[in-house]
Amino acid sequence: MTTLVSFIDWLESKELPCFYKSVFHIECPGCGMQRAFIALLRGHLGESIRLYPPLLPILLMFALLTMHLVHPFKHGAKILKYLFIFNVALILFNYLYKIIF
Amino acid sequence: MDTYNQNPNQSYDKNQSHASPAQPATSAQPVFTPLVALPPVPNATASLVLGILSLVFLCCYGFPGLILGIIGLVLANNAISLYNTSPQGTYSQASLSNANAGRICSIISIVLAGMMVVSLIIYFIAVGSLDFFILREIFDFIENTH
Repeated sequence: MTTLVSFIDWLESKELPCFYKSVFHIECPGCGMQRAFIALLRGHLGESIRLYPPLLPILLMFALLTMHLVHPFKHGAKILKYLFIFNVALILFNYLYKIIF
Repeated sequence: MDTYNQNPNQSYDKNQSHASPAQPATSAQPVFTPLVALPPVPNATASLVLGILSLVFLCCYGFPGLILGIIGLVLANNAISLYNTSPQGTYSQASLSNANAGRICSIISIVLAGMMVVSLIIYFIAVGSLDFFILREIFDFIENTH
């Protein structure tokens, strides 16, 4: 248990800075994903959604991708395609929301 | 021809002669083909994985996502053309849907990454400086983590 907590602390210390933000001084579409992932690992689900809402659908997409690769289900590719488009739309809406408000 | 006297392992086809049990069945008997799983088109799953992975690698001005998206698109196009040019029943249908999904995901990622790269180029043209302070940021980051 303590190794898991120290692993999460180690991950938090290794966060990448946003090169986009250092140049343009506004957030990029992926800003907050690392912090939201760390919050999710610590168990703070609401905090994770508040920081970066599209993270959970992205993780769901990766889970479905691994399941589809291990044992392909019939409409797996189609589900992944629509989920991908939904994720991109969610990322863009989140970005516009953060920029405008 | 009484079928009850025949070898029970033989088929119950009255048209089959005794002399050559290996004679192929006539049209009166249904032909049972074994169900074989068709092989997938090569690179179909790879293009799907690359297409989806290119979404999360859209950091760093979208360059990794652009590269992954281009590779995924090329692989998907190869897979789809290979499926269309080969005769029916050579490759499985599921892998074609994989390749299609990978193609769509790669195209979307390439569009997004292309917009990010274009915005970067426009920024550098507008600001007009060849100040590679991005590289300095990267060097500072690498130094701080040691």
